[in-house]
Amino acid sequence: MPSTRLIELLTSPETVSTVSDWDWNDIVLAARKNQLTGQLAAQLQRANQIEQIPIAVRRHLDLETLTSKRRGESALWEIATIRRAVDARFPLILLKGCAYLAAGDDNSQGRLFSDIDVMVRQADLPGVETNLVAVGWKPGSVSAYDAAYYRNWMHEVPPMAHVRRHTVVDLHHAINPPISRYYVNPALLFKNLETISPGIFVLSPTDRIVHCALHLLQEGESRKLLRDLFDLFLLLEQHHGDESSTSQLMKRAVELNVDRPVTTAINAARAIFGRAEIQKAAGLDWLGQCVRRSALGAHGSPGLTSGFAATALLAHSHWMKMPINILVPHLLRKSMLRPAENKAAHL
Amino acid sequence: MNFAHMVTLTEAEIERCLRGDGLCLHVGSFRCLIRSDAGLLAIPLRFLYQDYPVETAIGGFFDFRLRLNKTRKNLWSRWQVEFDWEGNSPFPPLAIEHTHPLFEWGLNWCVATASGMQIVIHSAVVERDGVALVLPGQPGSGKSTLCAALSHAGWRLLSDELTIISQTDGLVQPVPRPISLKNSSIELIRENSPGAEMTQPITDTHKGTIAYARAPGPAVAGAGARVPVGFVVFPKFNADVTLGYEPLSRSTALTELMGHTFNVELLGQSGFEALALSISTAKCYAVEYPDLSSVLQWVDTICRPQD
Repeated sequence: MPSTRLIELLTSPETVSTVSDWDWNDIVLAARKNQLTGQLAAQLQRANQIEQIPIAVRRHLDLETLTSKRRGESALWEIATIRRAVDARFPLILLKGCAYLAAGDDNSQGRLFSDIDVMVRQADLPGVETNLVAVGWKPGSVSAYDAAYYRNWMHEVPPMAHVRRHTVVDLHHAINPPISRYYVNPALLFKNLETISPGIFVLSPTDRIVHCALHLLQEGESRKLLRDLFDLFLLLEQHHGDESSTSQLMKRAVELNVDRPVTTAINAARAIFGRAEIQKAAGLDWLGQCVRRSALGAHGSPGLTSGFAATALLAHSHWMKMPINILVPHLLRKSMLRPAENKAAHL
Repeated sequence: MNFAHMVTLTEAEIERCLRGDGLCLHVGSFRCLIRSDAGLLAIPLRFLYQDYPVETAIGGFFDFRLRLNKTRKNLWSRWQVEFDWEGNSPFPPLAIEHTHPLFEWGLNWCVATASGMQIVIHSAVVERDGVALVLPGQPGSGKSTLCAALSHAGWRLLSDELTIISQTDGLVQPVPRPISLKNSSIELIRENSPGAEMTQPITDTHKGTIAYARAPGPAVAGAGARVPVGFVVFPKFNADVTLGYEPLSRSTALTELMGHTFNVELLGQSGFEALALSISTAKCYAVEYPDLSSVLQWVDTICRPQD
């Protein structure tokens, strides 16, 4: 499998001295495809192994490290801009990549992210949108159908892009759709926030893990799956390394009504990145197997099992997101419209 | 590792490598593995890159593993060629006749991207008397033409497309490559610089007709010799004027240069400071010229060492 050596290096950076120049070709390629190049550099740096890398390879990793650092700086700058633009009455909760960065989580080292994900209270949403529009963030232009779809069923509004800088803000009022099977009531999350600076918050470390786990199953897409699993793994290592701490985490997952998907995602992450004894302990249910297979096979030659796993995962993500009576008409509409939209794009 | 120069291989050998495990071409400090089944690369590669080190036994780490393979939408459509850097391509597939220009554009893109830790300016650059003359310009400014003429008039070609400046010491890192000449400049260079060796023009690319001039041997051999910036000249071709120039303050030149730098945002403050430092002793000019001979004469008079 093409990602095997990459995973080995991510989890045991001290084995870097055994990597030949030729091996680096596939490692760098796998890292690029899985969007893990910067994270690989960070892991090697953390383990004091970065000097072991051949200079030619180093050049590519350093570039990724710098890119991630610079993108992080500009994201923090945008966040400060957003905070100034938005009425002080409205608390802003950073999510995903932004949150890892602001909270200084290990997994933010070398990680690239493009969109700024912010959660606000649902009641504040119109006010925040108005404030952002006033400083140049344009409401996402989508069809009337999509707009209604977002408003009625989703936990976020269409992405807003800044007219000059083209940075994109994703405004959320929850971490998953209110109609979803594992809906997490945002009020419960708001109770445990961690303050970054006045008016800027992130979810508690435990809730960040829950969100990360839920998100990767909800996306259902295998392209970034390995990256997401590594995110999850590093968060776990940093905040819930030992066993007693894991049971705390699971208690919270039960409280939020997401213990099943969280268990699956965590087990899959540990099965891929954990030390051998942890790998064995991580019993994978069929969904966990799908996650593992589809993450490992995402960028290789399409095989029957990884293809099936990816399809199952995608189907499961839809099943998670919405009840069947809303999902089926939505998918039908999208699949029938797709050829027409594609044609329009060619004109 | 077994180096040879491209010229020691026959076209058939090159073609066999391209269709097999690949041909490893050294471009500056980059090792680049080229594979292609289009059947149109061996001739221009052997001609243009004759002085470049190549390897035919494939091993080690490659900065770029490139493929230029033919493709077509369906059985009855025309063959096209696709540029691929391990799943990435900045270009749409082109007509198969454009395989070679596509390779050059693609490799430029790879080099520019992978050099991101250094300052990468969209600019031609040549060297004489140990200092670099940087020639940034918009497309149509005539920078490639000027660069081709200068590299056959006593200047050493560093690059016709990318000026790469180290952030640590402000020196220009040469990446000598074939010079791309477009439309009327092809004839112009043929007349002006009889020493220039060029490929057959390829017509109907999105840039018009295009031909490549071989980088002179000493330029390729001297790819390791880095030099400080001595002159920054912003050329502008205008057939309706007599030659005129104005000295630019370094701050004006710096602002202009930033506009031509690909990775300003990536390098941030340290890049800005390094760029400023790299031109801190350079003389900077803007020159508007009606023809090649007048601007060559101007460069010869103005861009001279002081002492």
